Amino acid sequence: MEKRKILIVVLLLTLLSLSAFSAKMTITWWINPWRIAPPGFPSDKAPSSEDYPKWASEEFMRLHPEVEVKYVVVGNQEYSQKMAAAIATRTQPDFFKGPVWDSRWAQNGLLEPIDSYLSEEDWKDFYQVVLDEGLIDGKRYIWPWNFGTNGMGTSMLLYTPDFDKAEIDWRKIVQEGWTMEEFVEICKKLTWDTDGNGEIDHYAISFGAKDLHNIINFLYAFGGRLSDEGETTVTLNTPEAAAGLQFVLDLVNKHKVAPKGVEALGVYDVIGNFHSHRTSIGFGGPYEIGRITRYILAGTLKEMFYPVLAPFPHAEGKDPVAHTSGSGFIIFKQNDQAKREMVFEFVKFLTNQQNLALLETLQYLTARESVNQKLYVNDPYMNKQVKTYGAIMDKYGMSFFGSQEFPWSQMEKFIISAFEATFAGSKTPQKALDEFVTEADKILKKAK
Amino acid sequence: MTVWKRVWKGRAGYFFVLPHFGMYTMFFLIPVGWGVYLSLFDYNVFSQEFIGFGNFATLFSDWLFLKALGNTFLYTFGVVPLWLGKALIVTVLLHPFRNSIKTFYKALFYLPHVTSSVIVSMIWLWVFNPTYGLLNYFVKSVGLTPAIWLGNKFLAMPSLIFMQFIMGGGSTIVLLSAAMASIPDYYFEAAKLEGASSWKVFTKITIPLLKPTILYALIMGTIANFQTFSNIYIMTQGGPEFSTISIGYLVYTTAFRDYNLGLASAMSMVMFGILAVLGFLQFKWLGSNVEY
Repeated sequence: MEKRKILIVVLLLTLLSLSAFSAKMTITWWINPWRIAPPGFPSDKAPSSEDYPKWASEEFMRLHPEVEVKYVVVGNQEYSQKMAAAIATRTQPDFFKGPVWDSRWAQNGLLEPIDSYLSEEDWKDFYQVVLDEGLIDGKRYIWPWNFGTNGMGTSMLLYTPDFDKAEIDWRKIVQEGWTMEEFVEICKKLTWDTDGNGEIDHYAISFGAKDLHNIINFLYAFGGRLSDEGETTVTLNTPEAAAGLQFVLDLVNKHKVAPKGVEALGVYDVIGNFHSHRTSIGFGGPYEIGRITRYILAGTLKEMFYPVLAPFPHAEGKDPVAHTSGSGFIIFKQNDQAKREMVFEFVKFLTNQQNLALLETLQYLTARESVNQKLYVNDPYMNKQVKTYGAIMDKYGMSFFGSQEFPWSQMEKFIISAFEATFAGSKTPQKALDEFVTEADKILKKAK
Repeated sequence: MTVWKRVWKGRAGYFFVLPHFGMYTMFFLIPVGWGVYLSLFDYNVFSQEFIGFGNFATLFSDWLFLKALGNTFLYTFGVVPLWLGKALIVTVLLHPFRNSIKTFYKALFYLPHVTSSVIVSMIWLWVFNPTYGLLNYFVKSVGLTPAIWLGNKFLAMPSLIFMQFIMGGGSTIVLLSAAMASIPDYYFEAAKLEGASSWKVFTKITIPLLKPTILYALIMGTIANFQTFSNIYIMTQGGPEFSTISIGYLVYTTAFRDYNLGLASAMSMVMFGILAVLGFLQFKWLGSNVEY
């Protein structure tokens, strides 16, 4: 009897140790929808948000059979909600790429700093602005992946047939830029009554109060800034900032080159107006050109068109400004050294030159300078646009929304309210911005 | 008889109630209890500090929360009476028709209820679009000045109430129709013989006999509309100028944009308290049964 018991215990222990040896290391990662076409993806189809993470996970598992990779595609809208719930219940992924993150996660020790995992080549190759995107208390927390976002607040898109129709030299704008005064005159020429019923039904441009990046560009172009250098006070109510907001308001009310109702519109309304040729000037970078292709493939847009990229207009005697940022992968704290190494291995795999170049299919610039030089070599049109975009970001790039430690996300609702009030006419630009600064300063002081 | 003996005696009943009670505990009582607990902390996902009633003090000195509270009341008391009124009128108008016609119309009114509120909101976004929207198209075609429905702080909330009035109330119509069908016909026949007008029949027979169902619809409608979120999230994000911000939306942004789960829980507790009081008052005023 005793012998049998010992035998059973030994057998169980053997089975347990065997299963422990054969257990795979599991890496879980989250990504928001990036419709990147993996290698070999049919060119006549629009990739889904699942295609890229599925391919990347399988490819990494093929290279590392001892690892099991689980990916989760999390929608942009519910990302912060799911992440907050995951952190609260300690079920966060090992690493993630998402539309949101909070610098307090790093300050509270939830994240792995990446500095020691970057090779010498990485330090040289990754754009400094993207490396610094996740800089908190002297350490970096974002492993660079893409350079620039969708280009909102960075560059404008010009629908050239309308410019040709109005006899405007768009090539000069692309090459030399345009002053605010020139911009107004050009916008007037691009505003007309298509069906001849006496009512304007085609505008040069459109704005949305919730489409912050593009309006804020004008505030910055006139010299406004969100905060002082040390980020101790919010300063977006200076006369320069108010002049920028007044300029956009004048485009709608005084010059009538943009449709009314800005206070009710968001970024997708503005994009929709441009796609349907109700406006001649849109916003965004190469990604927004890619959106046109994707909408065509998905059947939501009928006719392909090829806009060109141009810088935002600039105030007399000043340079244009362009919102520039980058993003990448964020790694949660790993207690197991072997797993930490493997997670970083996976992130390095995703951002090696070959795999990073897949961002080309989404018309995104990558975080590596070496990769960007080889993008779109067989597509002269896109090659030109990407070069223009890169040059704009390089020359005029700046972050509109402060450092990662700046609590912009909490202030956002107040600037939207200020823009809504301005365009609804219930407050002057100066008063609306003053009220924003009052609320934003309270948030900043609390955060400090 | 001791408590245990009584439980043992009714064990079959408790056994059948147990699965539901288990679910209720797991998915309602525990989260509510956890919400009460969180509301006493400065809890931002990665750190927590006990602050007692600090969150509640913050809330009642925050103009945005008070504005959201006012808006939520405005929205609820705007939508619910309109819903009920519409449901009552439709129910009474449908009542004389034969069943197949009634079923057809009930299905028609119920249809928006089974459609995703996100889709409904997106359709209405287009309806309200200031430049290319359907509503302004009609407004212009009758020679009126088009309005910026969701961009004007005085029009945005009435626009949302109007949308909810048009799209909602389907389930209430189904409920009231069922209740109306259970009213014996001879009440109506007797009233007619006595020479009662249609209005008298409606106010003295129909309404009183539908009162329990109306009460149920009123309470459920109040609870549902007080927690309104998706239409505001999709259509206005609380704007313009916070004129449509609701408690439900503020809870969401506080919890998942600002990561302040403690403050968001305190907001939820305030909402819970208000709904409990409203439910109690509605029962108190309308709960008396009518029998003939």
